Amino acid sequence: MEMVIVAGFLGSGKTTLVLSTISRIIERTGKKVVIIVNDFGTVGIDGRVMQKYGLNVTELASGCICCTLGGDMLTTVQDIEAKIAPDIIVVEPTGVADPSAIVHAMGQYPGKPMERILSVVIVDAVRFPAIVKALNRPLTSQIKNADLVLINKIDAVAPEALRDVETALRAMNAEVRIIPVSALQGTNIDQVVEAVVG
Amino acid sequence: MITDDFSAYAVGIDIHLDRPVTAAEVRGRVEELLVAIAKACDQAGATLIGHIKAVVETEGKGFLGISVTEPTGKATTRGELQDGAKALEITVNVLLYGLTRSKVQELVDPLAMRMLDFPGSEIELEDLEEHHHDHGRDDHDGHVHEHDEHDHC
Repeated sequence: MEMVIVAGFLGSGKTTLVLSTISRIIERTGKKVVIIVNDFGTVGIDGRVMQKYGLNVTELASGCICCTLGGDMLTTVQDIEAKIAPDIIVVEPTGVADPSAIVHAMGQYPGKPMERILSVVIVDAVRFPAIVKALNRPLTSQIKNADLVLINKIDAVAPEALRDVETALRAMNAEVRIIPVSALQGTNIDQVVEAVVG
Repeated sequence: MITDDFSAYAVGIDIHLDRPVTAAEVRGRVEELLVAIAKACDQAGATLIGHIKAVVETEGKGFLGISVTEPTGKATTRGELQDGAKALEITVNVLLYGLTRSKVQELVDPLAMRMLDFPGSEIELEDLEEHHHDHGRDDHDGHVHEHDEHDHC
């Protein structure tokens, strides 16, 4: 079993990306995929929307997966493994979560260790300057610990602005693979699928 | 990325209608509501909007998921809604920085009451996270104090 964490600041397009990639991953690989969604607070809007699109979703509500729900997540993963035995578990944490904390929490997983944990971080190209200004340290930490960075909403920014975002991300993590995408329009989603499932 | 000035507010809005409404009318009103909330929060001093989201659910007439992330931005909408719904269950979720939860509620609730007031409708609001704590330290005008950027998460 593998785990793919799809992290990114609030409004970066995590749910849109999950909706646009999961069906392609299933079509392409035939793998069984389950999604764990953690909306902040008791209101699970993202999970409800994904379920309406027919995805297999388990919600973790009432808090942030990386700070208060680590134990709940492990129990949930264990339940999913026992009942569904998926090939891939996709975790969409709240937009305020640190994905490295989830990776750390999975170190305590009592079941069979994950074959792989891939940490994907989505960056909002439109609001990147404002988010960097307000939340530089946690954003930098997310990018430093990412295995794959997606610059989303490229359809809504000028090429120069996109280059600036890429330059800033490279300064945070020189090695990480970066894919510019538009989850809404489906641009470069095949590259994302390739990067996720190989 | 939960800082001292981070606030979360969610409200459930139940609407019962005398006459069926069109999908376009519902979509237009909810999109306008979210844009209005974003603008109002920005004008009230929000330093960064995380997201303002809504899900509209109906009995057998489909659903909409709507999102706004910028005070000057347009709404992004997904889902399918058919004409003819006579009841709407709407959940609005606001996550932002720079305003207290109570200030956000003070801005959101009257806008929802006014902008979702379909002719001949009954509208009921419910605070969905009444018992959740407010990360922001309130001062007299609903702003929160500047903070060192320390991420709890």
